[in-house]
Amino acid sequence: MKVAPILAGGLKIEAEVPEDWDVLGCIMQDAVAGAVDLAQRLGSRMRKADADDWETYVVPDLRTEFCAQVSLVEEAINSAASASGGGPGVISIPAAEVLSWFGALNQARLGLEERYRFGDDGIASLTGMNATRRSGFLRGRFYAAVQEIMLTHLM
Amino acid sequence: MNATGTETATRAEEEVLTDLPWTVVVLNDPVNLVDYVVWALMKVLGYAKGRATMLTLEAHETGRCVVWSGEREQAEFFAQQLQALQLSAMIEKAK
Repeated sequence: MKVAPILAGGLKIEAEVPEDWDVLGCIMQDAVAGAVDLAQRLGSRMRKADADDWETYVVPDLRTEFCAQVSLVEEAINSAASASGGGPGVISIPAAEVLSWFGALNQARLGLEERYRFGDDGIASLTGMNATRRSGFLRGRFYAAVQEIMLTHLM
Repeated sequence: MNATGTETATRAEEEVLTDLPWTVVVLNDPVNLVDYVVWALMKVLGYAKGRATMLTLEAHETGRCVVWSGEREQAEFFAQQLQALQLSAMIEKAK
């Protein structure tokens, strides 16, 4: 898989082998893994006196926005995978959608953290991990690497 | 005499408390990248990169950082904007 900024201001993700589509599909699964309600969690940070109002007026909007981010990414990946017949193909991310992708990747990393509690685990700890945890760890690193490309070149 | 004195003291304290500004606090978390938090503080609060970086590193090292203080309504707005960018933000009354 190749990920690179494009001259028009967005990003392209090139799936080179069929397995790349599986990896990309994990973004959605990881984002919802662990039943993380990010909006609820962020709202719960508010002090008690404000929590009810925040829950009523702010959290629903946040929830809608976070769900929309994952939906946008899901649609882009499914559409590109379908167009390529599951073989090599490209996802083009317009500049206007970069922030949504960034948010969806953040949710995916949050889902992984919720499930596996990697904390500050470094790459050296890979040898002690079982296959499922190791796979999650590597996906998290991949998502963060894509985010870093976005931060460096597009945001 | 005692009752009156107590009442006066209480009222005075309440007046002082309502005059205190509100703060927006950002908490450290294991997911958001440092550079992203810097970017978010620049975007939402309009800070220069140096200031945003300093505040981000303070949150990273101590677990939390006051990033803004002022009127309550504005503090709520900023907290909401930061939460929309998935930062752990909240408002508190300044101490």
